[in-house]
Amino acid sequence: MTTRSGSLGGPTAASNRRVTWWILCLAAVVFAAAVGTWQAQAILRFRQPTVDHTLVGEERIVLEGVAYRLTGFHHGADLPIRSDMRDIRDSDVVSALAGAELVQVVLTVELVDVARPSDTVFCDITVEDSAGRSWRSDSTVGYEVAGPGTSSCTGAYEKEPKVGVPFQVGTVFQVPADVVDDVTVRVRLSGGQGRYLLELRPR
Amino acid sequence: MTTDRTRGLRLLAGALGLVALMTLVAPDLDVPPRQWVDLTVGEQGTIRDIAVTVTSVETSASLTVRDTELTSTGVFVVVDVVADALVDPVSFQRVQLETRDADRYEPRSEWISAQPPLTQPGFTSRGTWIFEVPYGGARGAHLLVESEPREFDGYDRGLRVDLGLDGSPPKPGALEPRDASTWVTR
Repeated sequence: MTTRSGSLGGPTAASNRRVTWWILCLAAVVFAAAVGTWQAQAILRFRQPTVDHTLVGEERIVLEGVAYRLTGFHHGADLPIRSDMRDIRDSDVVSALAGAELVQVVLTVELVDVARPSDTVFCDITVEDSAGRSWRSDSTVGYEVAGPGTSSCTGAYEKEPKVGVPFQVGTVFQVPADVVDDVTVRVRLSGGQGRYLLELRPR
Repeated sequence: MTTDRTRGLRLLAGALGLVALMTLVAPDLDVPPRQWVDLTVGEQGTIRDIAVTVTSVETSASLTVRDTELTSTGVFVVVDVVADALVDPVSFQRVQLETRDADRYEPRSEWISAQPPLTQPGFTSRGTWIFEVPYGGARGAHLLVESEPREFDGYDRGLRVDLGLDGSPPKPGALEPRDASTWVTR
């Protein structure tokens, strides 16, 4: 029995082939599942990126040759109006809708590495509450509020950022008044080697 | 050996059959959304980012835009809506009117100030979309509202509102759409 099955391709050889087939099938299924899981994770991360770094107050972070810091978080039913808009609007303030507040976020950006071109420093600033709701800048009132002259991390159009010289980026949001104390600032960074999501907590 | 080859061919055929089956049942990502939520005027419908209610529908042969009357050889369909943004800002980029013949029309841009503006969470907007369709095309028309475009949205649902239009002649006289408005809701 032993001799026949071992060397002449009897039942044991057939059994080994069967086991090999099953192992190959199992390996194929495991491989397909692993690839599928990896793809699903990549898609989920792309759609809902997770926070890479959380900064509190005026903490500073340097990523790919650029430093970022939250240096302003002002809010209220009214915010001061730009001087050149005062006469046009006949008012000293810009007002939010009833039941809402304006939130002005000021980010200080500084090129610290000469190798990083300033025109590749892209940022998208939003605010988000603890329930996951997010707000974009409000262009209807935002441009009238006094503050930094630019809302772009590549700097003002007529004034290219220089290495070692910080500049301010300002964005204005309009949110329901009852969520103002709950919101944090989210900054999506791109243009360099990687993409990053910063959470900036004003308090 | 023959048995192994036969088994292998069967396995291959089975795998190909599985792939063919998955291809058949998978949605076509080029024509989102795959599913429609059917509504009528006055009913609120909710999809990923938006809750929308069509509050009234009118038809007219002429409308006023910036004090100028604009007359159509077809029909203007004037759709008033109230919309909430639920999670993210919504700019209503995917809104169309679909006729019974499956022709689709975009809102006319002359009345952009009447259209619901960018609406953010916690706010509600009231606005009006105006479509121009050939005479007789309004009968049985539906309003289609889809979620905001994103990177992967082939599996999303959309709202399909039966506007309740029966082909009656449009109202005489020119309609004058109001500007859109926004207020805080929560």
